[in-house]
Amino acid sequence: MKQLFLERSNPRNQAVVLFIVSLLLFVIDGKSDALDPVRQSTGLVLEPVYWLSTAPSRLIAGVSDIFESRDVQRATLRERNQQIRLLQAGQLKMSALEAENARLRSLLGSASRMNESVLIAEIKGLSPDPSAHHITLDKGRDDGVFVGQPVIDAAGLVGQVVEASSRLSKVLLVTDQNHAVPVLAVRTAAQLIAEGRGQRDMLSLRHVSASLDLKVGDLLVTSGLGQRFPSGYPVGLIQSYHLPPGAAFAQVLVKPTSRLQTLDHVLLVFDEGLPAERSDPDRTTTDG
Amino acid sequence: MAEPILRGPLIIVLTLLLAIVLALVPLPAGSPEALKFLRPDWVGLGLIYWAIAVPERVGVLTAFALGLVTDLVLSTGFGYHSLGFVILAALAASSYQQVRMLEIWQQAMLVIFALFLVTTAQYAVLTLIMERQLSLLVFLKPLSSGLMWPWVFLLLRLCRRRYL
Repeated sequence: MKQLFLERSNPRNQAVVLFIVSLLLFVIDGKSDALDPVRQSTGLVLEPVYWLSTAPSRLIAGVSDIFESRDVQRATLRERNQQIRLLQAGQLKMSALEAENARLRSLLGSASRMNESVLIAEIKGLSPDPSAHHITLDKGRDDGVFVGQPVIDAAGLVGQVVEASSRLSKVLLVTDQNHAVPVLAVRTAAQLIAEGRGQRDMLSLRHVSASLDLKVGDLLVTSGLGQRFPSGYPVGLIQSYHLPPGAAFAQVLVKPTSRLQTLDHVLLVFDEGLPAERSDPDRTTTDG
Repeated sequence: MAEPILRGPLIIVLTLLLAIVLALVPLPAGSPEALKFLRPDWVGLGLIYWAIAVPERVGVLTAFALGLVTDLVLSTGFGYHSLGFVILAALAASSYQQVRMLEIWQQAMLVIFALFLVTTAQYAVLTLIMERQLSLLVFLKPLSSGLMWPWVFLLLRLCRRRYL
């Protein structure tokens, strides 16, 4: 205890300097990708930490599996079987439609975009950071996951992979305020950009000019512009359209079709039609 | 004298690492979003304890390094947590003698106040400089952290008495 006062000669100055350094770092990291290599290179070191942090959820999942009653399991099984039958029925029509679509496309001379394969991933959890909408998946680079990969669920677009370590990956959700996706209104073929607002159940459309024909209930799908997302995946339904008097742009809110609130499994999309190597992960869409 | 120095830093590092893991534990999928605003700032609490208990070992420099590691693990922007932790450590360094004299619940009040200050600074930086939006619910975090302070304090005091 004797050295106590000698050692800490000037903590206040030190604090001020470090405060300013932090501030600078934060601004640099926020406004440029200069520090991204640091993040990418530490992925391997951090793996055990992530593994540890998911231990409780794995434990809970294991325990609840043991205690789940047989009746409940039977009921879910019945439900699943019914669902499979329904989906199979839908699939019958689908294959016919697919063939027809391929035929029509060949008539038009454009390449078919049906050659997409998917990988099912389980969600390990939601990000602890309140200002970001991330989810962690149990699939990583070892499974072929790459940064920038589109992620969907059964109902629509979920987001894109922003970080991939060897066995885990992190997905930026479409609702994150740093995320934007080029979309197409199905009814009118209007090209728009849907961006996150930092709210779990809402997107907004950017630069909707007053003359554009949009209605509440219109379906928006990915347009495929920007080369990041394959085209045709549902993104959301227009929930409200508000044009303030005299304003050049309308305020349009979109409700995502994917069940972002209750996700447990998602699909990672491998689209052979898109270039596999992307050097700059989020910029094409996020800065839109 | 040699032995505690060897053992000392280890327990500090271990408890802070554990705090980071706790901060990272993902919420179960499908849980309400508001839940994440109620998660106590485990790393901040751990830092406050050690900065008050052993200020000669845990000061602003440690806080800064800890903040960078936290930023890396939680993938918040570099500097976000270190900014807050530097403030916490500076506050602790200037007042640990008085804080040690207080009752636990009074300390908890101070912890809430300090974390509130930190959250305000972080909120200001995030919204004013970075022009990002952040829910005002983040101000719930200091409260939940304050409620956790007594338990963190007792647990870490146990660690300190045993290993430091």
